[in-house]
Amino acid sequence: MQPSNRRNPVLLSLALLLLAGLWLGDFASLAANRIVPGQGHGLSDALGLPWALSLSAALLALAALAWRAEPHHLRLAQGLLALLLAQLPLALAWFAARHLDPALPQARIAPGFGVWSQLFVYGLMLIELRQRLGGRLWLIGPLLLLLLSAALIASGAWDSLALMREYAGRSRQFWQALGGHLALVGGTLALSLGLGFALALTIGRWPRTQAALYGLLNLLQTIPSLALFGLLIPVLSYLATQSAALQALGVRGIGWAPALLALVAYSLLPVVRNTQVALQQVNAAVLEAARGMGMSRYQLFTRVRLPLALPVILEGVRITSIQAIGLAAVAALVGAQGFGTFIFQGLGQGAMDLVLLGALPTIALALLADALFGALAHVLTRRRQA
Amino acid sequence: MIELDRVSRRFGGVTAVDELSLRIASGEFCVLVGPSGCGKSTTLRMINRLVACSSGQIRIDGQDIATLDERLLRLRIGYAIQNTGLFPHWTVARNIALVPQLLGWPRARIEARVGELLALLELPAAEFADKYPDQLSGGQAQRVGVARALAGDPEILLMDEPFGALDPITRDNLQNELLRIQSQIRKTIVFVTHDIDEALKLAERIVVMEHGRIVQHGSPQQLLDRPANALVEQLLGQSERGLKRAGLRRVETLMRPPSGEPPAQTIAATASLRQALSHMLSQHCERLAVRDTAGRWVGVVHLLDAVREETD
Repeated sequence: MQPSNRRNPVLLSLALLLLAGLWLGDFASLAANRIVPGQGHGLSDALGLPWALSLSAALLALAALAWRAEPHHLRLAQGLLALLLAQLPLALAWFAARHLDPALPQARIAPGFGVWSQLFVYGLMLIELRQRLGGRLWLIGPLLLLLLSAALIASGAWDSLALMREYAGRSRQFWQALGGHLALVGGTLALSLGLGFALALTIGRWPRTQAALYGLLNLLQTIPSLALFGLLIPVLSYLATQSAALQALGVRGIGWAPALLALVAYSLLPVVRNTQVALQQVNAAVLEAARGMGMSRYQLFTRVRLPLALPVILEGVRITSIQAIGLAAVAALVGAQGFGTFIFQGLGQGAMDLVLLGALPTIALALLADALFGALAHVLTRRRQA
Repeated sequence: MIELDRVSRRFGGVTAVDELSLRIASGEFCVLVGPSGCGKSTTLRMINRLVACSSGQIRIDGQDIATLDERLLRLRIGYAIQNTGLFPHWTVARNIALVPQLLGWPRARIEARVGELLALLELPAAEFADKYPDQLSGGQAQRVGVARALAGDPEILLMDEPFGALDPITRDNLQNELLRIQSQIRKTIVFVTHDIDEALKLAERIVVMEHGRIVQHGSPQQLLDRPANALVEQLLGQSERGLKRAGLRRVETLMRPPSGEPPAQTIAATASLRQALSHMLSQHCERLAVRDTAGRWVGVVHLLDAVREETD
């Protein structure tokens, strides 16, 4: 075999690009308070020469391992990557300790290009190594990152981080926003699952309804979310003035009602389509056998059709939940509770750190939902082939 | 006993089964055979009411099945199909346990029954009970399919081309297995196939169908001796009909008593005349020594014996 065949161009170019980026861009910035723009610090300035050189050496070593990407080299690279991920939260704390002036209690640091690009590139490297090596060891790096971050937050070493400063001023609103966000997403999932399941069964029972139903759901899907929120405001305001019962429920033109309705409208298509396709694609021979053995319709559905369809249905729930988590943030515009509130407040005040306080948890929630439903489907499909 | 009394089935304007009458005795192995679209599968599926009759009546032990509860009827009838239809999310043991479970048997009895059937189908329980269908070979999966069909100890077993998708060697093995099992359990079996050799090998009675009607029915011997029309003759493979007949005759029924020195080449007493002829052709000899299962020399079969008219 030619040595060049063993090269891993992905890892190699990622390591070298990151190295160049780290030395050219700012690692992090420091601002005296929330209003003034931050002062950028390059890599060696921010962390000191020893840290900067060790980091560079580690990246060069990674590139060297990728140059001759034998399996044992890749395993070494995976170990090195875990260390790189672990040093990132420590580097931020180290930067704060080196540069923060105790005379300025309002001073705050913000991660710069150097931090974000490391996070992004390490993520790509993880995916690449996970594909080449398989196994579970790839989890060590991200877990170290999370544990160290949690420890640094708890110890107060990250208190000067802009994000933490924004959180410190709004910790009560933050948890309220989390609750509101989850309630909106949970409500959306529950409603769209119930309704979507009923619609999928309707299509299965009366195939003629399929064209009309999908036409309607597709139409809903094409309406831009902001337009749909806007359309719902006057409709719900009018309904609320007409019905005391709705008023008692708290239905108004703005607030949770239009947000929930719009989110459910968008969620229906993936739920209905996945559920219907999943129930329909169950092997005909299996159903024939089940019927011929003497299963009742109900037994056939609950013991055969539904369990075999479940992984694909869960895939629909996964897509729906991720989509709903994102849209729930936008729903802050019509007054719904959630992380979107921070995003739009931050945009209004020109405070990017506040925007991040809304955006980062939203992303984290979406990733969490993805992992959760992915794992659930994995457990269910491990022993199944439809 | 299954009686089909002038049963018809129409799909739209097409008549799949046309005024068909047939009586299948208890314990009989009856094979429906014919070209595709002849209505053999539809006929089978009408017996467990997966397909309803358009007209006519089907009776099991004198009872009109249209008056019975559909589910209870099916629980009494074993059913095995070509693509096994095993539940991919259940283990082999749970697949087999399906009908006993639906019948509400106690757990201990179900477990015992599953073990019994795995043994009957020669699938060692330790190895196979906890496997999933996607871990089985085609032949093993079909064995499980047959075990599942037998699990509720039904009087009647319906089999719709169960071995159709298997390779020739596996199919041959499973056919032998089925004959062995049938000799032990004596069920009423209705078996659908388009493979005439399979029908000749398995059937006590063959029912040849075309255009939804019965063209001829009778024992394999009767069909080979007197095919009713050109279709049956064609189905039986014209030029090879003599060989197929020879396939039904056992060497022991036409051998001569032993005398003098035994011939060098031997054949088992239970072998068919067809196998004996093939052996003579490949070994270039006219005489074979017939030996029983214990290896004793019990007779001689001569090339000329093969062309003698049957006396029995």
